[in-house]
Amino acid sequence: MGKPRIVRARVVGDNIDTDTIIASHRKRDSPDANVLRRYLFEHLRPDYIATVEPGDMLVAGENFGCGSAMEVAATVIAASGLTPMIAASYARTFYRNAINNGLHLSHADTTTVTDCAYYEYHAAPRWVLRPLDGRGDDIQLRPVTGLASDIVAAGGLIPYVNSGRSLTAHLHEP
Amino acid sequence: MSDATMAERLLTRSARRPVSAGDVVGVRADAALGTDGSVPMALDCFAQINGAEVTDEIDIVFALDHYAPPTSPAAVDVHRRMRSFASHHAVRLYEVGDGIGHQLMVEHGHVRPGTTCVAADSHATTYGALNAFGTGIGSSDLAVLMATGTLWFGVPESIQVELCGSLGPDVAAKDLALHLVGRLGASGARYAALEFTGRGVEKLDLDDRLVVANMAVEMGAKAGIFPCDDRLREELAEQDIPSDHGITPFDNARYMRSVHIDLSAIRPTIATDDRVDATTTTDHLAGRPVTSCRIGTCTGGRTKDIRQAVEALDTAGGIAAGVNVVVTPASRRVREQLDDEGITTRLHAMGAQIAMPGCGACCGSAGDLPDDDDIVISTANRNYRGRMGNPHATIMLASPATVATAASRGAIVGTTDGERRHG
Repeated sequence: MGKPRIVRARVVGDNIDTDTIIASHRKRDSPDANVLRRYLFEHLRPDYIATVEPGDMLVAGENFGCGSAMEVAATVIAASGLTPMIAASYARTFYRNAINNGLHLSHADTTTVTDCAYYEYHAAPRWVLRPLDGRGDDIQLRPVTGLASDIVAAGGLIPYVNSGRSLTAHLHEP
Repeated sequence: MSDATMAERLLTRSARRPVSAGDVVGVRADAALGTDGSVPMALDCFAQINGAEVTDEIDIVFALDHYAPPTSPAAVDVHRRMRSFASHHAVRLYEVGDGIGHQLMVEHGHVRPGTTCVAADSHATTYGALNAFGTGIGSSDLAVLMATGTLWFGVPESIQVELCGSLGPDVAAKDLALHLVGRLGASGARYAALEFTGRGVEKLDLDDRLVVANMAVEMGAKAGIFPCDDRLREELAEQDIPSDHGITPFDNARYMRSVHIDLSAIRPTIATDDRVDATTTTDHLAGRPVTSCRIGTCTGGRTKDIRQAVEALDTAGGIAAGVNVVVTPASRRVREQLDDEGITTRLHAMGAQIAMPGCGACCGSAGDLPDDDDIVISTANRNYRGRMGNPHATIMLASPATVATAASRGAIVGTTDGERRHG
């Protein structure tokens, strides 16, 4: 319920693949997301990570996280402080890894979101992104639902399982 | 359920209750692969699961394929950890040099028709060639799968890809795959399953189907499923792989979309411009220079692919001066077949490098990195900038024959009738 957060949008485009999020050869030296975050989008926007400030939110276009299924693409974004994030759509493996790591994300039409502009981020129950300068319409957010939202709420798949819940509870029903 | 898709029917079996598109369900998988790219994080996750033991209810396989051979102390350490875990928990582990995990899953009978087989690697869609629901998962998923045998899925809608006709003499399954990616786009099948139907399917052998199913993920697809038809049953029977649970599509299955492809109209096709879906025919790119040619990967590194490449090289008179050719067999077994047929000797004699079976030449994780000004043409599945470990190199994707003919001239070669047409 809480109050809206003021966020600054940090926009990237369509079809950002996981190798662009974090080059796959970087993880050879360390899988630690707090190390890898230094290389976020290094080939796409060499200045990007150096200019991230607290309260920045990652905003992407279509098919964010396409390509390789490497999970560090999700953990590096979680570690970058750019969450919650929104995108017009996600590649399925990125979406799944994000949920499994408790990364707060939602779908939205991001075409009108302006890079480095400020917005109010309203989570449940309103789920809107509102331009702070009052210009432009509210952008409706479509949050994760069902079993997947239970996993995010638990903080990720491992915490979910550790809370004693089973993904296949229906198999054990009489 | 007579209008259910193959994807819904395969997941219904794994969920052990009727499921349909849009449901988010827990399922029990039949087999799972982890690689040295994904297992390290999975082991960290596994250690965080309370009281976790490795379940014996599903077939768990590790492959040391991405860092083969390992070229950093960190990669050596990853391999040591994986070997130690595998021996303690009775996990089947394929060693450095055995090959690419997906190829090993198929070659060694871990994937069977009618099952759900996953990998912590996106090219698990490959398993759809064997009529399995094959899809990529993450490291957390793999950890939970090792402990419980279960994972969660959104049940996808399906796109029908109806095939008719048969491929022309100089056209390969890779050309069909690239054509399809160009047609649907890099996100055109996002969250969906591709299901291949129609009379054209029986014209594709298992090797062809593996190429096409492998690239389903390049359209964002969750799976790319071929039917368990007579041709698949026969090929699997030769390898003693049972296909009792295989299925074929229902005639009135509900598809979100249908795409029709006449295989006889497919031309040799290339993906360019850092985009897997920026496809065009070789005739349009004829004469464009290339400096490095790669034949291999989980898409194009099987015996049939390398045979086609060596035949094209023979016909064209070998490798042009100054062109670097790296051939990476998909597995040790493929390498042995090539040796038996004298193909490796012929490739060596032409000046090609024969690399250790593995993923390195595709994603820059081991082996030969391209130079800044290299223009690479590869039988691989991805040409994102930086994919091969050097963001300055340019990468194009094509069939084994197209890559080989490019190697023979140091430039892309159009088709014979295309040259006639374009002068």
